[in-house]
Amino acid sequence: MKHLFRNPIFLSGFFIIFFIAFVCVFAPFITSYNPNAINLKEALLSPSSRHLLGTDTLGRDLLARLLYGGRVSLAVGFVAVGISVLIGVALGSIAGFYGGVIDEIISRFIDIMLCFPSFFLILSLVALARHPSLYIIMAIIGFTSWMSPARLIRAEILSLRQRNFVIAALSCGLSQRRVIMRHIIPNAWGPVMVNATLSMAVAVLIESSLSFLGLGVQPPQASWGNILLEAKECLGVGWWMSVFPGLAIFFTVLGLNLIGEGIRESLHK
Amino acid sequence: MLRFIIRRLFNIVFLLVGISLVSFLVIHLSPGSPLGGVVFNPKVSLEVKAKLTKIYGLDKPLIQQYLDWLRRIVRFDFGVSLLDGRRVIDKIKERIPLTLFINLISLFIIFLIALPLGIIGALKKGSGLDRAITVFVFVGFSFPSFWLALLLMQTLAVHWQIVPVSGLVSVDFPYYSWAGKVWDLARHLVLPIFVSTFGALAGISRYVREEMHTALSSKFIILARAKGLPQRLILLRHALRNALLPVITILGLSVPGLLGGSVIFETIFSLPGMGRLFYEGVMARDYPLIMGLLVIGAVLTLLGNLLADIGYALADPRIRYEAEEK
Amino acid sequence: MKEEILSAKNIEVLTAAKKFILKGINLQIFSGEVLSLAGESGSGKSTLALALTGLLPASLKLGGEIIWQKRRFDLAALRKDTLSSRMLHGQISYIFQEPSSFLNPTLNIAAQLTEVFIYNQKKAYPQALDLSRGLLELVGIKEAEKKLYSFPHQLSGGEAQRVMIAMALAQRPKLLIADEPTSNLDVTIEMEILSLIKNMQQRFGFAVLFITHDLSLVRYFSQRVVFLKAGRIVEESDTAHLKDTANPYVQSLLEAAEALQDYE
Repeated sequence: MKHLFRNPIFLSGFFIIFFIAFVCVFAPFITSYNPNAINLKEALLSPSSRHLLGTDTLGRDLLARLLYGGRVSLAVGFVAVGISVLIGVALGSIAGFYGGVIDEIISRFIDIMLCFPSFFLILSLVALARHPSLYIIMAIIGFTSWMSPARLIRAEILSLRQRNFVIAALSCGLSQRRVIMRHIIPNAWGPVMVNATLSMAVAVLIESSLSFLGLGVQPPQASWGNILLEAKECLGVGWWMSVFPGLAIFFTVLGLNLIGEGIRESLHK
Repeated sequence: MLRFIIRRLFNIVFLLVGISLVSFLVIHLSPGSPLGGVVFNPKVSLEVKAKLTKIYGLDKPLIQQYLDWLRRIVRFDFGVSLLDGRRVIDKIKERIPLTLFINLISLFIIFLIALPLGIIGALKKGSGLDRAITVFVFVGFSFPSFWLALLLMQTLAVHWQIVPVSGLVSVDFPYYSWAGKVWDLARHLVLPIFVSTFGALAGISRYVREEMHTALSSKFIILARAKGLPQRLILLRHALRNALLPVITILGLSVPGLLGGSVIFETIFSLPGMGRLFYEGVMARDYPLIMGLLVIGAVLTLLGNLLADIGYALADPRIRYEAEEK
Repeated sequence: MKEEILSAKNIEVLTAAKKFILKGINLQIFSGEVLSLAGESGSGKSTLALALTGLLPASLKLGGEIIWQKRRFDLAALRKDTLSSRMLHGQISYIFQEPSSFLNPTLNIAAQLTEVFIYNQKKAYPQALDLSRGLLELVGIKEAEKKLYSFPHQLSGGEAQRVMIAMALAQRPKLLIADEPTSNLDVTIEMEILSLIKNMQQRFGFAVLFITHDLSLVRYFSQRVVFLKAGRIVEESDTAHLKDTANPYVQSLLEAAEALQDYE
């Protein structure tokens, strides 16, 4: 951990994400505007002291929409990755530890799932869900992205099993479950954290892409993706509507990627 | 080599069965049934529902339904589109070439740029140039492709009007000369190709850098240097040759990402490709079309993996001459 | 007194974290002699072998100089100076432990042998191929014609080491640095390879720096031996007088070698 907080890549990512999460969580203290309050008299105002980032086509304050929309993006990213890591770690450690037929079945299932372009799978599920709520979107992203943490954990366990301390623990008569919990999971944690932060970046991108295609978070609820969709519909007017939400997504994804890279670097030391 | 191909083919058959099974379960076990809104629609009478159920074979046991469905999809019969009643496979067939065309061009450009970037990065690891490339890679990784598309559209197409906003060809396309047609197509495709190239470029140049670095620090490079060979030969013949082997695999593995990306840029730029067809299908809840595209997408991914495997096997003598061992 | 061909002065190697791997190494090699470099594993033998011609990975810091046939080379500068480095490597050849991982897995033997003739000695391909075939026969490879078109993974460990020796001979070396050339091979093949190296040395008259941890081989093979411990040279002696040493490190190595021989 000490290593981590001396790594400049990790630190820069951490501060970006900390800042974004902070302003989104404390949105009500930063802006007094209601993100959904329509005021047609103030539609499409450019950034000014009154509306720091301008207003959208319905006269809603863009800063307020960005901050509240950020809550959605971060929550989707966080929960989706939580689901995928949970499933991935469970299946991966079962496959890695028990081996044999169980490993074969799980590994083949992972192979099959990886044949589907993940965005295709996600879109199909969104279409099937008919009225995708926020929770369903979180679940869909989570249920279609557990394969890489599963593979990672499985590979990690297979290599750890060959190591002496695990062999020693097993030959001392410790139960397998205990060995998994006490020795293997803590050792495999680092690579999984790297994978989780990078997947969270991907999840944020997927959510915003879905919302941008009109298939994710539905208006009037704000999300960075659907603000950009509105910007696309009034192409050529209101540059601020397409610049700021994009920057927000960009910096969030960048921050997460930097955190992941930072953890990876400090693991290799 | 023969044993390798047979093993691969066997694996493919297995994966195809798996793909069909997963696709089938996805559509049958999810809350919206293949009949779409019909089931939940109170205005549709019970008799009509029963009739539809019969037509789709939904009254049969699940296993029977799957086998019936499988029998149809091995002949690429995905049924008819709910939107216009045309056969799903016909709709997909006419959309694939454009998607393939754009992605192949992007892949070509990606490798044209990623190779030198990765090689320079590996050779001058830690230098200012390498850091600049690394920064570019991180920016590229994090840049949402649809935002890039939107910004380019807004500046180049709307503001400066250098290129058309969207679509594949201009309205008066049929009246252009041969060269005019090519020029018109190129003008329409420059932004989509740029967007799809930009997204994957970062990852692949990073990958090339890692592989090149691994190759450069391997033992056979020490021997090559100990032999007093010229620097150029060490780099190209010994290091790059080995570094490119895993890069071949990346070609195959990039297929699903490219297909997913096609949905986004084809939708934004209104290009009549497979990705846009998927988007239209999802918007209209056209289940037969969605299923068809899902299966075809998985099959294309599989095909990409297979091509990469064969390419790798042909390039790597350790696999090519496997059978002769011992 | 024989002519000195290589003299190493004050060689030192440091890790990126400024930890010494080798310190203050001074070493002379005379033309046509076999000098052994012995020491326990981890003492820095292989590092020294590579350091002598600047072959170390860039992550290690390298200092000191060598004088090769009356020409001075600063080792730190040599790593960047590809021209001098190529000149040097045209005269000093290497063979390594684990030959199969030092051969390029994606090129066949012909390609890896002929490139020495083509690029270093400016020979045409057909001639280079003939020379390569001749060399393979010289180092005792059966079915040389077939092995020319084999890939490294298709060779046995002994064959791979013979190919490596052929490659070293192709450069007509004045010095051959052999870094534990037999430690991964069966005992029977080990003796074949060692006598092959000895044969070639007598035939072509090059000097050999023979690196090993096995003192019984030292006596069999060389006239002089240098002992390395924890990155420093601790003893230098004629192999004939090895038994009389007062150095406790060398004594312990000798005892270990004898114990091993008794055991076998």
